[in-house]
Amino acid sequence: MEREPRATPRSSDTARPVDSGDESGATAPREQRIGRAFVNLADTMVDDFDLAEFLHMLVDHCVDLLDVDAAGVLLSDQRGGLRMAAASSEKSELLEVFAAETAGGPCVECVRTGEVVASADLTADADRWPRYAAAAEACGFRAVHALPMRLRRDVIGALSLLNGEPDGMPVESSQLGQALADVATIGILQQRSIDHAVVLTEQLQTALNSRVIFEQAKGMLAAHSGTMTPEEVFAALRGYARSHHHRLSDLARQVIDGTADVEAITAHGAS
Amino acid sequence: MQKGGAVSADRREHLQNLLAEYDNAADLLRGICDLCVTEVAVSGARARVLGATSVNGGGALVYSSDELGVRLDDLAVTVGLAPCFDAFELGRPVLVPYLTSDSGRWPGFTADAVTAGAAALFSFPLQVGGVRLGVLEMHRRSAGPLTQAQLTDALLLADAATDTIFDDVHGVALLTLSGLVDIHAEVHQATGMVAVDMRVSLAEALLRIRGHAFAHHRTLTEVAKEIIERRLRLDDGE
Repeated sequence: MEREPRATPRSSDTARPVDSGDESGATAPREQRIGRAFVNLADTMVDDFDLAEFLHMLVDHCVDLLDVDAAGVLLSDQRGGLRMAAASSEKSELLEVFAAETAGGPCVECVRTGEVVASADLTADADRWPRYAAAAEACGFRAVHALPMRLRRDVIGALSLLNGEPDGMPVESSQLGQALADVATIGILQQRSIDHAVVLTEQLQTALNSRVIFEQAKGMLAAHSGTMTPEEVFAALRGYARSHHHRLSDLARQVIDGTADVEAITAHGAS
Repeated sequence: MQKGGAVSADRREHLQNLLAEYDNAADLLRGICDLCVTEVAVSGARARVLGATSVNGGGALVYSSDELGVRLDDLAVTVGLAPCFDAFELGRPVLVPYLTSDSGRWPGFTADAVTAGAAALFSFPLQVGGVRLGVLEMHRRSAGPLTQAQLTDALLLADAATDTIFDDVHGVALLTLSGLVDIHAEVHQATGMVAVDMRVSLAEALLRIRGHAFAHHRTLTEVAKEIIERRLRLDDGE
């Protein structure tokens, strides 16, 4: 057994999300935060590496460092489709899920081509991606930069940077975003890389299954609370995981196994 | 990776067509294991149902395409530590292209499995998040990894086995290939809500939602949305 299927405290400080509120959080100078992001994303050689958790960290770093409103990741499901794997907010999650399910939009094109696909104004580009543009508008986004997560010939997914206003994203931001995506991809593919195809499959499929468990846990917590929506549960679950230094995927598994403190988790959302 | 979504869509259709001739779960699982041999180019495959709580106790070998599969299954159950149990517990495929060099991972299992003739094992969990049903394990008498195309087929066949076992356990009509794995996030959320509200397992909750959708000629997603918005509450009469 490689991993204990229980929520365990994080073994190292570097695995903690950027905005956890401690001294290493968003108040540090930007240069320092950029440096820390690269260190965090390169730190994949740990025994309990968890891709779902790692991608959450990636999107959080993007929002912290890149002057974007939201970020999301689509991953290959290795069956010819894409799945939403991480998002920094509920709205960006909805949009990524929509893109994955309709197999359309800049992020999907980005995975298909392995190149950056961007729209500084989705309203102006509505004839190119009509359904995606409409969905983006409904979620409050007008601009998107989709950056490939690729290493040589392997494209494992796309990192989408989203803005509420039409933008000309500064070149520097786009380049830094690609650098973050690159270091994350290299980290994932080289993670315990005796046989990277095996590890990648195991990681990708774990991340996809974690998403399903996460959604089921959201529903269970919503029902326990009696009134919370799954969206409110999302915030409560993340907040609780952070303040107790649990991994989100471990905590979600505890919820569906019936071993989590559901009262405390839902109370976290109310405070 | 992503090297042509269209190719995989074709594969899905291809496998679906090959499975279309079977009209009951037992035959379908036999067909799926046999397709592992012809399409994924392994020596054999077996499907095992596993209980959600007890790894060694609550389970049964449903079908094995060959004698080696039966032997491997027997070994796994006897020893208790084996790739198929790891796949089930971890909720992800466990791929062992070179079994002989992995001797430390499953002490007691590997040496006997190699002696029996296995050189590579590929275990796929049959589950939808917390709905955990069993394992599809493929074995090969020669070592080496699956190709990308073989991996895609293996995942699609595991999806089909998941649907088949879910439907068989719960006695409802067969879904199409990948029906359960492709369902929307709302359905998973609604499954969690119904499980708590009705005090049933996640599998049972998913079944109730599907039953309701089927009985009222509505889509799973529509029913799920109403449950999440608390406009619909399934009760015991469903």
